[in-house]
This record gives sequence, structure tokens and C-alpha cells, in this order.
Amino acid sequence: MKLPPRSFQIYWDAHAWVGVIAALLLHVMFFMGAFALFRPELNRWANPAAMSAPAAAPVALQPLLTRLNQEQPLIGKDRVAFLPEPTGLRAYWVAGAEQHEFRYAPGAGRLLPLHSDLGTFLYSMHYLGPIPQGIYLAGVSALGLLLALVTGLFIHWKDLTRQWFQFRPDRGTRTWSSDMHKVLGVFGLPYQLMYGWTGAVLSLSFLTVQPAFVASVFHGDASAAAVARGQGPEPPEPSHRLSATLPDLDALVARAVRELPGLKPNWIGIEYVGDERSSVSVYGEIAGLPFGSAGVLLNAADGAVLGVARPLAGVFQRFEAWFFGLHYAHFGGYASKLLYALLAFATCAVLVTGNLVWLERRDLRRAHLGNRLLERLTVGWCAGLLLATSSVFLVNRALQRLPETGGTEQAVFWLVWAAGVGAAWLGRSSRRVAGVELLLAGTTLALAVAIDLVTSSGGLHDPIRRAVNAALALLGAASCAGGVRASAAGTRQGSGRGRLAQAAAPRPGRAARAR
Amino acid sequence: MSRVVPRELLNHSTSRTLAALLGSLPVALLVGIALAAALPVPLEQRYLIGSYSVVPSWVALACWVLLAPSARRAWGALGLVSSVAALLSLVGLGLR
Repeated sequence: MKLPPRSFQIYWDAHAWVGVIAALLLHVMFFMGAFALFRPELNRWANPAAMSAPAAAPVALQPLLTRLNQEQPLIGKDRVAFLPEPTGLRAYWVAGAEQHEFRYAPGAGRLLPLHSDLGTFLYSMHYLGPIPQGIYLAGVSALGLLLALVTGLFIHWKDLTRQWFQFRPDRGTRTWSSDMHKVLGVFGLPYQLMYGWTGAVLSLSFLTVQPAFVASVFHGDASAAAVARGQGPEPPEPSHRLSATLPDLDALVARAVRELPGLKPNWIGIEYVGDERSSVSVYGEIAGLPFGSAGVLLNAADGAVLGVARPLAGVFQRFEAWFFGLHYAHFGGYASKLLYALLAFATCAVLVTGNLVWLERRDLRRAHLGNRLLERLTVGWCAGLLLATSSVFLVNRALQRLPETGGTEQAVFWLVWAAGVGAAWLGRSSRRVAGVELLLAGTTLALAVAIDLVTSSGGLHDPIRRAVNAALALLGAASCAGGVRASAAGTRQGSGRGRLAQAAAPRPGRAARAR
Repeated sequence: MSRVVPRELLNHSTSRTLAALLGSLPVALLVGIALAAALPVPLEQRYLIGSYSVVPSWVALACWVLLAPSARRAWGALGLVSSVAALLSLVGLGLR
């Protein structure tokens, strides 16, 4: 398919403008998405007290609940939840706006307050959670990604096969960055389309599309819509009369497993603890059933079954299980998560090279202030983000003797990122700044791993800890390699040889420019 | 053949861009509601198709409206799609 010249040019402009406007936010979302995939593993790495190997057998919950209740009275709390994860047991309670999180320490045999929520913080950055109204910004960015992908597909459709394979790293910046943008863009297209669509739905749909459908198609009847969606039953509202007794959690989990054979619970929550109408939800995956989420709602007092959400019960539920399962990589274990992480980093490269292509094509000498700003902002934003993320890992390891480091980690993250963005305005060569920031990020990650190795006391028997250290070391090495390359390019750029050599090179014809 | 088109022939305008990016959002929602209201399949399937077609509909509408020769045609196209979707929704919901 070859587009008429006018359509081609309009889609070209739309692709470039939407891309350059959304690129920086999308870069944060994809970069943090790679870490979000490993949130439990990172949280485990970040909490040394809970670092010994996860218990082989499921942990009995009732003794933990009783002991936690003795330490911090739970009666009257809105929710107490236990999350058995492959990396260990996590728990939290919520009362109004207050929330406290714990991890099970097998050595101590009890729940300990969280030392750091590093993994959760990086996960929340994936959907721009820490920024006010960030999730909506993320949703709008996801829509922008979809539009950029579809318009990009239209303009490259005629030579898609060539764009898939053509990479010329020995050519000038304009050529290699354009090649990389297209090669990684075409390779990652299904992944990026999936994330654009699922991300937009997750960020925007539940607060905009679904209420409109309930109001129109279901005439305002939310429960009818819930039935059509195949949703599980909602917990009963509290009576506000406290009976002051805790449910027998292990018995209720066993009851839920009898109701749904094969259920592997990953979320056990007590709603309105101690209330007469308190209930217990047991949610999890059905073993051997892809995307087979299911759950049972039980009365906390007598264990009566209030409702069952069966796996893949209707067409809506089956579709959503796949739709969201693909987004969260609920399949294929670590192999698919690693592939997703690689594709996320590749997408970051697509976004950065997209901005570079914009600059190289439109303003080779950076004559316009706007393009100079874009160049420096892209460098500081992207390299600074890697540096800030690396700093979080280093702070976590360096301050591991403190009881709590989550607040410090986040403060350091924002400060270092701001410094990274600010530093991009210093110096004559933006690439040299990028090189320095990448080298610093790589060194910071190496330091974090080194401190972890030196201060570990038997923790290295933990395969999760070893794997996180190996991944951080790899990321650090890649960052250093990128830093060396960018610094070398920056030296050439600073001396003016690279830019002038490019400017002196024969200009491609119109047709080549249009490509 | 040169693929570079004179800028004036592209007829880029703020109004057309707004129609493509923002105006198409409520229209896409209306298209989704129309599908959920009027498709001759069980409610669960209509609801699924309607609610999950909103985002793809927005992309399709944005791409289509971007090619409109003028801003007036762009908004007119959105108005036409809205009218058809609203009519389908009313008929579909009224008949059930």
C-alpha cells in the first residue's frame, strides 16, 4: 500500500508531532515498566530482613494475624490483607488514608514493618502515580502512543520489510538513529500496540468509559453492568457494630480452595475487621489454567460462602483475563517478563531516537531555541531518569541499617532526576553530558551491587537476590557502555568535527528525505 | 516521484487538529455505546465489543479526520458519525 503524497505528509507530521510531545512521558512509563514487571523481586531485594529463601510450604496465616493484632490492634481497620507471592509473604492494613505494609521474615517467624518499598515506588512511576493526576497523564500518553504507532505504520507500510532489517551503525547520526528508530519500532510494534491499548484502558476507561456505559446501556444500574462483566460479588457494607473477633484465616482459605479446586491464593483480604458484616476475600490463580483468575467471598464470622468468581466464566471475563494478563505478563513466567523488559528498553530507544531524528532532520545545527531545548531536555530527562533510578538502589543498600529508607529513597530519586535534567544544560555538548550521566548511573548500580555482596550474610543463597544483583550489574554495564559511546560522540560533537562533517556531506535527495 | 507536498496543500489548521485529537474522543465513546446498544448479540458480548472498541475507534477517527480537506469538513464528519451513533443508540436502547 502506498499512500497518496498528501496523506503521507499529513501522517508524517502527525507521527512526528505526537511522538515528540509524548515521548518523554512514554519514556518514563516504558523504562519504569521494565522494573514494574519485577516489583515483588525488587521489594524482596530491598528488604534485607526478609531475604532468606521463601518458605517452601505455605505460611500459616492465623498466628501472624494474631501476633500482628497484639502488636497493632486490627479491630476497626478497613482492610487487612495477606499476599503470598513467589518471593515471600507480604501483608498490609488500611484504615482510611493510613496504610502500613509488612513482610514476613522467616528467620524471625513474624511480620516486620517494611524497610523499603523500592519495587512498589518504581511500579507506581510506571503509571506516573506519584505525580498529581499522573494516571490520567499516563492514559493520554498511551493514546498518543497508539496514534503515533498507527500513523507510523501507515507511512512505513510501503517498505516495512526493509525497515525491519536495515541498520547502518557506521553512518552519520541522522541515518543510524533513523534506522534504529525504525528497526526497533517495527520489531516492537505488536508489543507497543498492546501496551498502548491496554495502558489507555487501564488508565482512563474505568473512570470515563465505564461510567458512560453504565449510565446509558444499563440505565444507571451498576450491579447489572457488574453481572454482564462477570465480576465477582462485592463485599457487604459494614454495620459499624464491632464484634471484636478475628476470623480463622487458614480455615477460610481451606474453605475457598474446596470451593475452587486448584486455587493458588495470592490475595487474602479481611474487609472491615471485627465488624458484624466483615468478610474475607480469597483471590488467586487456578493452577494450570492460563489467565485463570478466580476468587471466593466468605463471611468472616461463620465461613459461609457469599459468592464465587469462577475463572473465565463468561466471554467478558475471558477477554479481560487475556487483555490484562498480557499487560501484566501473567503468562510464561520469568521468560516472558524478561522479554517484556527487553522490549521496554527497546521502546525507550525508539522514543529517544525519535526525538533525535526530529532534531537531525529539522535542525541539524540546532539554530532554533525550541530544538536546543528539546535536545537538552531529552538528554537530561532520559539519562537523568536512569541515574535517579540507580541512586535509589544505592541509597537502599547504603542505608540498610536504618529501620526505614523508603522516604529517603524517593527524595533522592526526585533530587537526582532534577539534577540530571539541570546538568543537561551545562557544557557545550549534550552528548558528553549524556555520557557522563550514563557512566555515573552505571557506576552507581555497580556500587549498589558491590555493597550488597560485601554486606550480605548468607543472603546470597537466595536465588532472587542473586538474579536481581546480576540484572542490576548488567544494566550498569550497559549504561557504562552507552556512556563511553556517548562521551566519545560528545567529544567529536564538541570539537565540531562530527557536525561539520555531516553538514559537509552530500545532502540526500527529496525522496530520501521524505523517507 | 517526489513525495514532498507543498505545505499549503496539506491545509493544516488548529481547528482540524483539535477535531482529530479531541473532538473524536466523545464521538468514539458514542460509537462504543452505539455498538453496545445496537449489535444483535447477547448483552455481555455487546457490552464487551462496545466498551473495548472506544480506544480503537478514537484512533481510527483521528486518522480519518486528519485527512479532511478542511476544518469544517473535519467537524462535519464528526457530527455525521455522532448523529448516526446517537440514532443507533436510541433505537437500540429503545427496542430492548
